[in-house]
Amino acid sequence: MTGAGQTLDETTKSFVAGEEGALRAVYERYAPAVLRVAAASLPSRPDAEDVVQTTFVTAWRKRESYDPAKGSLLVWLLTIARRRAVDVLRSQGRQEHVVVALHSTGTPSDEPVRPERVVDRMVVLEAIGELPPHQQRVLLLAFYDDLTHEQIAATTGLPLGTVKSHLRRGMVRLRQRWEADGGAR
Amino acid sequence: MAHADPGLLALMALGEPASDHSTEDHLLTCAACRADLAALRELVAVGRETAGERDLPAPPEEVWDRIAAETAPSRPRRRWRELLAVAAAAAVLGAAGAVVVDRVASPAEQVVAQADLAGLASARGTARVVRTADRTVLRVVIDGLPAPEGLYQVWLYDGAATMIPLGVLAGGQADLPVPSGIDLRTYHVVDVSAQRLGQQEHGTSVLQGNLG
Repeated sequence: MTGAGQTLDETTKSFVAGEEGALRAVYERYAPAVLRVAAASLPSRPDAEDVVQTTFVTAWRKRESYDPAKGSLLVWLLTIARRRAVDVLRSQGRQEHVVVALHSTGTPSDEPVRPERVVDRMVVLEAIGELPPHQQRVLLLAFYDDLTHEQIAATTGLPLGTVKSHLRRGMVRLRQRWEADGGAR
Repeated sequence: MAHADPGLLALMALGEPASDHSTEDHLLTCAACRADLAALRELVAVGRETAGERDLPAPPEEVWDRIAAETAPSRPRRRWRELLAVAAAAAVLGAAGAVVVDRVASPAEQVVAQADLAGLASARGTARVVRTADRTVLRVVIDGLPAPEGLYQVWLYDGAATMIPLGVLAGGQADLPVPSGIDLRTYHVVDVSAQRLGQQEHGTSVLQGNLG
């Protein structure tokens, strides 16, 4: 399976090398996702923000232990955040399933989501963002607008065969990223 | 027969009907391809769920400030000692040309050392050791500091155990006299901290820099 590390981008490289400004760049890229996962793991917002803080501080200090062959930097960060969140819950004498139950008392549309599922979404969202633009556009029409390949062809004006091949290639790439990063969890 | 074409399975996972009967027939008898299709359907389900996860909010800027404060480098630099030795020698010889003269200082002043202050993403500043005829001050100028909850205080730090409070920073600027007994070769770190009102001990470090 293609490792996420095959396409190490410049930001990740400079982060691993400990270059000045790299932590800020990585923070700007991934802090929203880390906060999202922390907030899905913890009932308190301040606790979730504390987890974001410790996650990036820990990641920076232990950056040499990041192994691109085992998954993307995003998944590494989210794995640290998940561990920290579980530590916070333990220190408060809570169990994770209690948190999920607490989240479920919200509005009916606000279904409780397992934190691991949120991690999955973050990984797929990043993988979608890394697709070539034409594959991305076609796949998002299928995902978000629930269009068939014929409808996508009509909407975009692309030939049917082109739409199909974008969908196939896009799905194959997403799956490669998904499975490569699944190995890190 | 051969396994189902991965591209075809991908289309099926997206909810499109199987394009030919042979693929349907194959799926009935092949557990591996059924598992493949199930995995792709799971991926599609997660992919659809990402619709609600776009444009996620960033944490408040204070979170970054705390990270920056915790990861700020604070290692002493040898250069400062050497530079001070040069400055001292120059003063003894009366050769003022050997020291750095900064345009920020007025003609009667000499900047003998300075530190870039970093730590907060939003703020940038410098601390200059300015020598006049009769005294030495630490001139601190910082842009972009958020309004403090309490106040900001400037310290000299030996990088190990001892911090000396020099004074309060107001409006991002201050000229703080350096007591004559303080050796800046030892206290080479300039630290700016956020203090609660009335807090005596050093609060939370927000910016630091090494004199050099």
